[in-house]
Amino acid sequence: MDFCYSILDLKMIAIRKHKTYSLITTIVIFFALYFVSKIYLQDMYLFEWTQRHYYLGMWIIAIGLILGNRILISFSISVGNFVGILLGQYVGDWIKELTMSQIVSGMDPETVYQLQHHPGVEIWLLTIGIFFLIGAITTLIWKRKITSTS
Amino acid sequence: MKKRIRNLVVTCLIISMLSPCFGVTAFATSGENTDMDDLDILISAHYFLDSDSYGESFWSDSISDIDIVPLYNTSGKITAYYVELAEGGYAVVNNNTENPTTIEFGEGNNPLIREILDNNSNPHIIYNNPLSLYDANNTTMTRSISDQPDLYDNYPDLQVKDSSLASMLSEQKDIIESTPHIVPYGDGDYGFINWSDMPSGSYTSDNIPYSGTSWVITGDFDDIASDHCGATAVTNLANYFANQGYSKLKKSSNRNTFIAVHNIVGNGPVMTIADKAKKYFSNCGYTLQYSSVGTFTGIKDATKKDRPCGILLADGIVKWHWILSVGYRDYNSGGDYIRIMDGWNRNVNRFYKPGSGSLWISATQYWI
Repeated sequence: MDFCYSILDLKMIAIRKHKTYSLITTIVIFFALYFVSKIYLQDMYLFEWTQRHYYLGMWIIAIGLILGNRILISFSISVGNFVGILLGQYVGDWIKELTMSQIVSGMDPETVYQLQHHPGVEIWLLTIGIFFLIGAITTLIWKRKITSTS
Repeated sequence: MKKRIRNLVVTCLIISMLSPCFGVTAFATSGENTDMDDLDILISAHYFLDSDSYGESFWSDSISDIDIVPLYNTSGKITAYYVELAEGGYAVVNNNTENPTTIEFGEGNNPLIREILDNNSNPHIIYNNPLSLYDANNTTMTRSISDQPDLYDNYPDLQVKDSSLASMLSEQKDIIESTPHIVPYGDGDYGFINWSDMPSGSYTSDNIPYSGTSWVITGDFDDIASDHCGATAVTNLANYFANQGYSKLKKSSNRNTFIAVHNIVGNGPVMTIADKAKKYFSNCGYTLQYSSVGTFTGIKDATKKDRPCGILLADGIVKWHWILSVGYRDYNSGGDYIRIMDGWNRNVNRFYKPGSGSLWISATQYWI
């Protein structure tokens, strides 16, 4: 019958719905953090930096992965981005404080500058990388499970 | 002269007073090697120059260069070291790790030693006391003082052990040596070469007309920015062109110029600054033009056209630094060096040898 959906059609609709929700959620997460950073957190190094550099295009990668049906990996990147910014800001502050405590009077300005370095961006990128790997490995394991049960 | 005498008196007082004050037992020095290394010398000089106990500190917070010159007695033994800071301030440090005191110190320099250093690039300075010294390599400058008592005859206490001072400075040295310079990636420096460490030999060179430019350094803005070498480089670019007549590029102060630039460039790391520099110049009413430079020859050509270049260097995966080129040195024997404003020292007396010490990521020449 023309008006009846096949099981395949229903599955496709479900996937599309899921994709739409994922897209909306991802966009909301990225944009919300972007605007919060822009409006309220301009004096915090990493929040300001990631906002100024549009997260280095992480949101494009996340959206691209959803469109390519890699929703779990995309979700991992979105969460990794958020966690990475928090870790990068606060752990970075802590590391910077530690290294700055090594500055002594008379130290050459090059060393002083390097000891004042905030490692927030490195921590942020590393966190996203770790979350990406977790997402990719989970996806792989999940796919294998489905294949073996079917 | 009054100041030098005052310094001498202060130093003599220190030498004579420190021992009883700290309960130092005086005895002849042991047969161990008591020669100082560079770090010993700097720690001792710093201890006395930075001490507020003597009314004022002669040690600048941002030292760009330090000269250390050995001073001898007539037997050829190094008895002391002359330390002179580029920003002003000098000390003559006793060459004895068991008594690392200074013989004289003060602001500016020791004019007699400075005169010798200015007249001879390879002097052999005989130092008897602050007022009796001469260059044994330069007979025309030799004064009729060579038969005077030597340093240890003048100040026998310099050979006496000062345990308290020695252990205090030794502790400082241990702290410095045990301090790990945490640099997440790379070897910790970009391989820049000081003027005094440049190779000898004949060369051709040229500079952009930077004279009169008010350079800023990252240390000026530590309180308002972080990882801001990019913004510092753009501020220096603006200051260079302001000095060339484009006066609107400079705000009421260097700090205000930096703030205006930093609002556009932001904190680092920044991968590009050309577009941001163009925006700042445009905001000031000028059109900044730029083009990519990929070779040393390109830097030379840009210099000949009075164009500074912004160069991005990498010392690790995410360890980058922005500098400005202001000239070059091209050695006849081979060896290309770019004269730079490194963003850390308020002068342009450092060089970068392309590909050496750090990776040349990109370079851009700028003109209006």
